[in-house]
Amino acid sequence: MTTNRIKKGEEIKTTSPASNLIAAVSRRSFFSRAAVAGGAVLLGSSIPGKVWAQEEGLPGLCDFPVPIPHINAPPPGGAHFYFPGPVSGAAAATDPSGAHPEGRDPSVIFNFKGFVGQADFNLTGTGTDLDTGATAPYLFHTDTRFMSGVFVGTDGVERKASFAFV
Amino acid sequence: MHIPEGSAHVDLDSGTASLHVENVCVLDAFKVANSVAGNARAVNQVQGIINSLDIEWSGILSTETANQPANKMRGTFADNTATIAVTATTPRTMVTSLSNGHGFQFVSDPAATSVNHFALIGHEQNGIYF
Repeated sequence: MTTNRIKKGEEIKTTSPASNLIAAVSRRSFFSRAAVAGGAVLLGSSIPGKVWAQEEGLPGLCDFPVPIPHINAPPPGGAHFYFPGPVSGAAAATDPSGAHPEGRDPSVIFNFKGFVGQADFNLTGTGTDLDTGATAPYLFHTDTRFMSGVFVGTDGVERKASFAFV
Repeated sequence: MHIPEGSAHVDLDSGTASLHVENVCVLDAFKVANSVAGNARAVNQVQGIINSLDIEWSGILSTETANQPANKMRGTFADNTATIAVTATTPRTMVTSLSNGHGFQFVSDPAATSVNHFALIGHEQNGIYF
């Protein structure tokens, strides 16, 4: 989870999937995957038991999902995702990297087939210091996505899974 | 960590979708820049919990079909609007350069108060499925 704890009146930075992907496809590789996919993730998964790579004697990380090839330009740069915007690639206020003539893929997972959802928000709420009980109004910005379907991981095995980026 | 199958529901014809997750462990890097750049992740990143997250997509503002050879992606999409409600907690942790170590909880205002800048749902296939 990448959270922008920004009190009202302070600068808002973009939250995007370029946080930490935690692709919960298998418990063993839960945290290791975070580094590869380069996005923030919550996710649900449903994996037929027979395709668990670990149970087939393969290395524990081999069911890692492959990130899309696109690498975003600053700001911030270097992560495998498109900022939110129309799939046509037209310029959008939510995409600081500008227009994309090649189009935008809202998924952050490659070798994927299924449903996707994407939403970019500002949301307000109350933050509470759980040690002191102090509260304050907070403003968050988030780009949240889900991908639900099948994907082929780095081991070439097709799996059914759901991913959500927050 | 697994989230039960069925966390996401989509009805492309009606332009509606929902995502509901709860009690999900995540990592909190405090700032986007830390997370993207990997700045001192081992020090500045702590475990957090999404206690609950609900997003509802609805309406169809426009529809798009995509066939993107450069991205090896094609699909059908509906641009729409969405609302979000979330509660998240970062438990008490050790003091770092970015954290006073205190526990923190954020409870969003009702979903109807969220401001949606962009939303879409769709069905796509990329990579080897292109």
